[in-house]
Amino acid sequence: MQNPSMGLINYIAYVSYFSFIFAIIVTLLKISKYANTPLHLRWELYPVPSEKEHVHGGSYLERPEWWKTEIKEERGSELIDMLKEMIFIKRLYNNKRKQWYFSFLFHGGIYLLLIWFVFTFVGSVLELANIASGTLFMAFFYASLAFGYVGIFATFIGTVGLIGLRATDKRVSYLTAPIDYFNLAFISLILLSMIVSLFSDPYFNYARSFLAYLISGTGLILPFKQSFLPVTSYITVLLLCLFFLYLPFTKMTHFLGKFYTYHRVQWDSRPNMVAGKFDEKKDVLIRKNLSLTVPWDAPHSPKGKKWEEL
Amino acid sequence: MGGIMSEIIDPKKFSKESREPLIKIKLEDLIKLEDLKEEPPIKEPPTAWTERYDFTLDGHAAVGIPVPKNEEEKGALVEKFLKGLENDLSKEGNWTFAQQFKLSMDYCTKCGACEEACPIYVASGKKNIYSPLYRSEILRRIYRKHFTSAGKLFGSIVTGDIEETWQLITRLIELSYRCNICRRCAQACPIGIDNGLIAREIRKIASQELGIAAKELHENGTVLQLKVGSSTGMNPEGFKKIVKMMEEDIESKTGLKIKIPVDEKGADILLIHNAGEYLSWPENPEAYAIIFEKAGLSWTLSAEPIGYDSVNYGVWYDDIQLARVAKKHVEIARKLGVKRIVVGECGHATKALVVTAERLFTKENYIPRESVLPILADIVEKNKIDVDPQKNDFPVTLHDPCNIVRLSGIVEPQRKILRKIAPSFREMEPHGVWNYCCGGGSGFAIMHSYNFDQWKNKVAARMKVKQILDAFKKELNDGSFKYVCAPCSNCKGEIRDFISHYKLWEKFRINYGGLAELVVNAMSEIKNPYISKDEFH
Ligand code: SF4
Ligand code: SF4
Repeated sequence: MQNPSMGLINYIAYVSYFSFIFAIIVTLLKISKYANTPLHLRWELYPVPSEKEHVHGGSYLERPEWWKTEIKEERGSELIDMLKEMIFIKRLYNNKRKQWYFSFLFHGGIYLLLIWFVFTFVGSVLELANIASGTLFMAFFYASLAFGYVGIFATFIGTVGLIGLRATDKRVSYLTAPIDYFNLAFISLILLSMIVSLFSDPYFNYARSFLAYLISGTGLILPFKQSFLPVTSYITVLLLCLFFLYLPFTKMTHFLGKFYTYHRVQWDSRPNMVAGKFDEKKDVLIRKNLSLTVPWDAPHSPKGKKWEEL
Repeated sequence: MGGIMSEIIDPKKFSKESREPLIKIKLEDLIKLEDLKEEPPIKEPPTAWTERYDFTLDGHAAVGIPVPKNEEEKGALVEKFLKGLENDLSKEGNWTFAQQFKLSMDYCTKCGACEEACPIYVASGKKNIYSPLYRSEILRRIYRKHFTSAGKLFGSIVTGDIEETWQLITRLIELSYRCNICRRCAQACPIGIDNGLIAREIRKIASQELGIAAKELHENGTVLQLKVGSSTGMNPEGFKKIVKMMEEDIESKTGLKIKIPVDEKGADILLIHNAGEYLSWPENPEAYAIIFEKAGLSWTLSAEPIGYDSVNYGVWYDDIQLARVAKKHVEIARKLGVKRIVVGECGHATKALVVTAERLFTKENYIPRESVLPILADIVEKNKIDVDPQKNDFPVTLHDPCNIVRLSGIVEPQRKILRKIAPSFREMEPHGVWNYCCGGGSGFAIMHSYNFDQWKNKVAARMKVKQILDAFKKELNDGSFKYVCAPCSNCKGEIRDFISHYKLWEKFRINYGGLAELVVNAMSEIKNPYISKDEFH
């Protein structure tokens, strides 16, 4: 006889699929909005790590007749700077240490949770493949325990700390809108629910089974005896689903924004001419921009004319 | 600094109509300049000004927006500003900066990491209205309220409190002229938000839609430059006369007979100086004439209108004017048949023409452009002229113009030169790409309307004054001649202003000047000192 929770788990699985796919689609649409803005005027900000002269903050513009020279982009040093910023949040560390402690816990915790997710995912694949024992499985089992616990608590402490700081830091609290608190409170609620779930699922067995269930395509295969979840896990999954539906509309997707502000603005110092050759692709984009019509209305603005006719 | 909370001006208060300024600048709030025993007091603006113009931000005015006379005028200010913001978010209106602008509108987390990086905010004693975050947040709230679905649906829960009154608009425009657009805050922001850019976008909306801009930048700036050839008002005849005088001047100062090439077709280099140099510091273009001739470069100046003035104030407030001026510079160079344009010691002109304008030019109308500093470094390093560093036997410090370092990445050439020709060269702290603005950035150096000079000297320039005093700490009171080397016309203008304001010449014998002058002062073949240790100008 089918367990009565079987129906519910199916619904939860559908909601999970939907919210996950929805989040990805809306996020991609958002990315395309930024990706499709016209080629802007240059507005780089030094130091630009991909430049050869970046060690002292310099650029190819330090070379006489720079346009005759090769301008190589040093991807290695760019990557190092990117990682320092992504993992360590270097700029916050240097400029607002008090905030950094909690922000680092929060972001670091999220990274750990992402790693936990990958390990749990691998664990569930191994389970699906019927290798739910042996050294490999146990390695992932213990790693996911470590990352999961540290991740959950670090993120939770970070989030609560950020709420506390926001409320007490007079320099920013007066500019805080209700939505800013709501976002942080929402995340801390999810984490609280995760913490409570730990009592009924201390080894992430349910989590792994549920993931296996999702991977296998909603019960096409039902590998485990834990075919239903504890109530607390249901609540956690539902909260996560809600969060996925909400996330793409918020500035919490600033990790996307950050890609563009760094790579397409602050570090985008590539000139039109390199080693004596004009970049043909840029030429096309510039022409396109110059053929746009000026909408501005001030007396000196040539409203209605094209930018090339200024 | 007293009770910080009581000083906080929230966005509600910012939008409230009043004839009183939101804050007052008081000496006791500003960062301390311990080496100065005294400084001029702060004066209140006369009522003749405050009755007619909006001084309600901080008791100062850079733009001086007339107080609207009736409801119609008030409504028009708000309506036009919103229309301008709409244009600024559009591809047609702002392809030039839309990507940066949108990103900076959407992703600020209000962490406040940018605040301490801002010299104006810090020097003011942390007045919250000068925080990089504050100005942007006011604009963001208007943006969210009118241009995002979340703002339209959920109102102040999402936007935070905001009411776009005429008073908010006039204060916001005035506040956009309390930022040097030095972009130090953008270096500090973990997300890469650019509050300096936002200040510029506010200025753009004001200029390109409402026709409101600082007079010195627009009417007496780009408009005059496009009309007569230079924002100084200099016409081609005037320029040619000055060139003659420069030749005479070089001969009387150095004994060298130099013919300054003008409109030489087919020369390799078209050198364009900030025309302010010819009027205020002719020794700088004269020094370049000497160095270029001695190094045997093929070069020329242009006597075409705009061809003898590298300035492009558009880079501070208006994309249309920016594009018009840059286009002219390139057209003139192409007509002359030169191979490259070299911009003299002027930071904003370098950034505007060499960096920002790059993507205004298609393949057919492209001409390479560069700063003069790498060329000068090459000449000095490769010993194309003989120098005797001992001739520069006085303490020298280097001011890094933001537009040259942080915004163009030209950091080492000027240092290579100084290390070779100035034995007593020392850095300011911080320096290079982490420098502080001189206080004259984004046009402030040439803006003198109403009581803006007072605000500029007391607040915007204060951090730089402190840095200079610190750099000369050891010799400050020993009566020796000291030189602040500033390879930028606008920075020199600003430094001249604050040296006079704080009496740094009289008190400490701190003088200032460009880089080429120091090079010529060190040239072995020139017997008389090129830099006078006895006069300040
Ligand atoms: S601009 Fe950047 S540093 Fe400043 S508050 Fe916003 S996110 Fe933080
Ligand atoms: S650009 Fe410079 S002056 Fe303007 S807010 Fe940022 S740090 Fe302050």
